[in-house]
Amino acid sequence: MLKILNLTKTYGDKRAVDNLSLHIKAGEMYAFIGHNGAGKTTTIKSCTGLLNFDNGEIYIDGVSIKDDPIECKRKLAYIPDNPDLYEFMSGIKYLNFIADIYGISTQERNEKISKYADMFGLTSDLAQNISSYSHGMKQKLAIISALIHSPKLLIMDEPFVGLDPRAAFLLKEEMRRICDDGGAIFFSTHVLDVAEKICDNIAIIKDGRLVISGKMSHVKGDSSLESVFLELEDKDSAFGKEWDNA
Amino acid sequence: MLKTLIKSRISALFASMTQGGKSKNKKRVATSLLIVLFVVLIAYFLFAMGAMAYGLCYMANETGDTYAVFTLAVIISSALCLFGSIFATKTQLFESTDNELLLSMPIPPKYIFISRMLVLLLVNYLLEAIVMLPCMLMYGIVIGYEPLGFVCSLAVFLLLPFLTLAISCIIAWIVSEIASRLRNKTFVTVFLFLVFFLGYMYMCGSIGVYAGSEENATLDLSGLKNTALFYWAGDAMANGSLISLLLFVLCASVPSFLVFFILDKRFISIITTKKAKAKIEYKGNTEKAGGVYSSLLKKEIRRFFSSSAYIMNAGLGNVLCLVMAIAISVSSRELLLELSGEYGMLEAFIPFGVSCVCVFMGSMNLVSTPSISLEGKSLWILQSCPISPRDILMAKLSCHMVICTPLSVISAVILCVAFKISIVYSLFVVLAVLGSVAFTGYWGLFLGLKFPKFDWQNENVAVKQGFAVFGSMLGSMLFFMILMGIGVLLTPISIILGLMVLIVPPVIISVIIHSYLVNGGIVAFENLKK
Repeated sequence: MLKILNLTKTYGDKRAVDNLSLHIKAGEMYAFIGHNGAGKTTTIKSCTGLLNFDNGEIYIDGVSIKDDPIECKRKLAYIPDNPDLYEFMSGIKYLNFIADIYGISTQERNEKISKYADMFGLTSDLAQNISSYSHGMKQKLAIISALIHSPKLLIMDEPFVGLDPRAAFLLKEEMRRICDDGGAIFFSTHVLDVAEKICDNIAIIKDGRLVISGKMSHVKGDSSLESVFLELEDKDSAFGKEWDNA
Repeated sequence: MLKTLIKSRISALFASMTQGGKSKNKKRVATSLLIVLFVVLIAYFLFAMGAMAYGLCYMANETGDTYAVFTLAVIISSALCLFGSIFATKTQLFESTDNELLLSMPIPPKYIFISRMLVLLLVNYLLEAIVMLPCMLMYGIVIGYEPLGFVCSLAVFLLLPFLTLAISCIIAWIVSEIASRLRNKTFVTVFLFLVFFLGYMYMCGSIGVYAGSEENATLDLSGLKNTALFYWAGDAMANGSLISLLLFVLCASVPSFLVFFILDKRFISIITTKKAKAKIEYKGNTEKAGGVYSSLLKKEIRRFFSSSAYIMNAGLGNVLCLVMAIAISVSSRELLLELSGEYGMLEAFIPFGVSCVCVFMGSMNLVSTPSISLEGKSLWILQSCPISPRDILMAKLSCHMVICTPLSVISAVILCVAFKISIVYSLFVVLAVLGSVAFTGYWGLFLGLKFPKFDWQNENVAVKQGFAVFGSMLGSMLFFMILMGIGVLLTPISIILGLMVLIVPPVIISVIIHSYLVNGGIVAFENLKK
């Protein structure tokens, strides 16, 4: 569903992402972890067509993001780390705007909006302007807008930040359902417990380079994900690469 | 601590004037151009005020009404201070985004208030200087100062911004208070500002009637004596009258002190109190599915009408054009017809003149210019959605057309009817207006795309500042002034030829920019923030 091949992105002299390759198959939930400034957001933004990259290739469901970005964007949904939405719109106007962009029929959008707004407890606030929303409410709205067109691939940057425990639980349930229905999810997080509990696969990035990736059980073995992550953070990336190759 | 706060306020003020950009070179070039534009604009204002003051000084010297020079200067500078700083006052004092952060720090609230007021005062001084300095200089050259008059001039110069700032604070406070309690905040804000604005213009206009409505073209400046505060300021500056100075000081300082005192006492409660608003009940999704383009257009129109700053700064030309058209057709039509008849230019120049007025007023409409910068932190939405950048750009352009065309055309039609312009020439006038709307839309969008400003915290910065906004407005004005100059030369040869000069070049340039936007513009949009 998402294939990243030798992705390299530089900002001036700094290599934010260095020769990173990942393959996320349909039905997989892939967590992407790393320290602040490791290159997670750059990788994610490159996958969603928000950033140009210097080298490599990204395929969404077999379509190159470079060659046909619009077709790729039809298949995916993106939730950024900070939900900066259109503050001048009400929640419902924003959802309708997104539904129009994705060509969702009146009936289908009404059903989806009703289902997800009820699920996240946002229905009574939909007529309010987004400018009056809290961070968590904006995050919920961003999640609903991402789910409204039933994307094949859901890419999220720190999706649990700002969500209350109930909303976080519901999001995890929904993520699992999407993967069970044949979709794929790629998301970054600093909450290692969540990644450990719900993900099939994991990738750890350090200073722009992929340190390790693969099945969760293989990566962490008998240890906790936290201890593996901290151990890898302390060691140099060369060691990590050897481990990955092994 | 206070020094640090003032320093951070001033640096924020100047930072908002600089231009963002991806590459350092582009940033530097755009900022340099912006500075050059500022310098040119200020030099133009200084020169225009100086020229006006020079003529007025001679006239006032002959009639002995020397106070009139300064009375008019004080009226104009107070108007400039008021309208130049009122939005800044509203956002800095009542809607600042960093209030909570500053209040959470060990800073006395008084310091936060004082630092804000001092920076606003600085803005008022700068605006005042643009009018007062050339007038004071010309007065010194043409008439010459009394020693006491010079001291009084300095006193008035130093005190006037306190008064204008106090009035700005009151208006901004009233507007914020009313708007914060109502649902349709934008409409109320725009309406109240327009009421204050038109009220003030009416007041200045009334003074103008006293000052210059003589049929034999001789000015009667004695009417300015009825302007109380302004007259006292003028009298003190010109004649060194200590009584006038005392009256001015009393009238300016007492209300200012009271306003500042009350604001200081209530500052914390003003910035921390959230007004309760009735929650809007969601009654189910009643909207039907729409197309991508119409949805983008609706979004742009909604954004325009959601922001009072956007409406007042980018769409005011529309309202002014209509007000002016009605005012001319009601009150000044006979005078203009008479003047045109006297110079034997009635037939030739009226359609051209009407076109020039409409086109020039239309050049103040900048709806498309800040539309890219206004995407700000939300740009990711459009860039991550499956939408062609062509549709995005054309929706922004269409929004400009939809907002600007109706009022511009109505204004043109009102003027055509008032001046009894023939149907054929009226059509040309309307075509000229349509051409100018298209030109300002395309030109503004082009500059907005080339010089976007995404690093804003308050949308006023995106709407009012940056190279795109200044370049768009000044470029459009300059372009149309050149066309008008050429048109003036060609109209005596052929009226149609004169009108065509206002129609053809804007259309040709619009076509050129259109072809860029649908090719290179798409790439430029895709690469924004990348």
